[in-house]
Amino acid sequence: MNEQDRFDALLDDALNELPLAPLPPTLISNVMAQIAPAPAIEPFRLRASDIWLALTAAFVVACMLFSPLTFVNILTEMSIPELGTMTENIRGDWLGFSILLVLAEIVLGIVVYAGISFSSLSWQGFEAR
Amino acid sequence: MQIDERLLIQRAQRGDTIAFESLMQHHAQFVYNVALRTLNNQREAEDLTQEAFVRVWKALPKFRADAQFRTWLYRIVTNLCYSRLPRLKNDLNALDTDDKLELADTGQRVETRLLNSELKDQLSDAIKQLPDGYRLLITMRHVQGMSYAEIAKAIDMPLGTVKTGIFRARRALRTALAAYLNEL
Repeated sequence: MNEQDRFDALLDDALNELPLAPLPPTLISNVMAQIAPAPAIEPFRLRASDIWLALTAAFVVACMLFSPLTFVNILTEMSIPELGTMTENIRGDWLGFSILLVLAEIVLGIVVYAGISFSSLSWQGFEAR
Repeated sequence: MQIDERLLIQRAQRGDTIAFESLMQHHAQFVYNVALRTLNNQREAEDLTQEAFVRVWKALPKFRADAQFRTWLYRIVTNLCYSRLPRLKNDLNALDTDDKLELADTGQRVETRLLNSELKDQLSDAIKQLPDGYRLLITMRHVQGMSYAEIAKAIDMPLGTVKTGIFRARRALRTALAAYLNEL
């Protein structure tokens, strides 16, 4: 074996035995985090329990709103003369205000429901892409 | 390609992340070492390795089962090295092919000798001093044990360029280590 061959053999051995640098410990988990499927969001679906819950809530709110009217009626029945026309005005104004509030609540519920349904559909469309 | 690896690839192509993780476990250290030796920077090598595997995952459905996975993987790694080291491809292209060069593609040597750690340290330092292209070639050849033909496919260069590059890289290493090797 001449000098050149001896060099080559040593170089080969040295190159083949070069130690491998250890893999950074977080490398594989970082890649896995990047390729993991995005968490699927359950699309919102209206269930019977949602309707019952909404109706119960509406009933409770309506009761709260109409309770002052009951109080005015009681005062009227007690025939306190000072209240006179004032109770009539209160009844008229409060009734209108209460009806308006209940209507506003229903409209708000519809808007919120439509909003959630729309965003669920949009997300499903995004997922499909 | 081993049967196990082929099965893992098929499962990963169907979206099985566990199978892909196993594939990655098998190749990541070699990919990282090729990147580390080529870029000479730990942080960049880590970034490149991560990016390479994310690209592999995305492109895996298009991978043909009859192709060599390792060659395909290193093609992605090399393309990322090209984008990070803009001169690398030009340097490799500039290697003129030496037709008289006859390098036997005998693969890895089976016998190993006990080499002292000082020589390994000297060699590691000498490799760091090599030009980028030589570092890439010598690492693929000796760390990953790839054949010349496989390297040529992976880096998308003619076989002659690969042989010339490795020959010159070894010559440069021999020169750098001459004094030390003479003492052995």
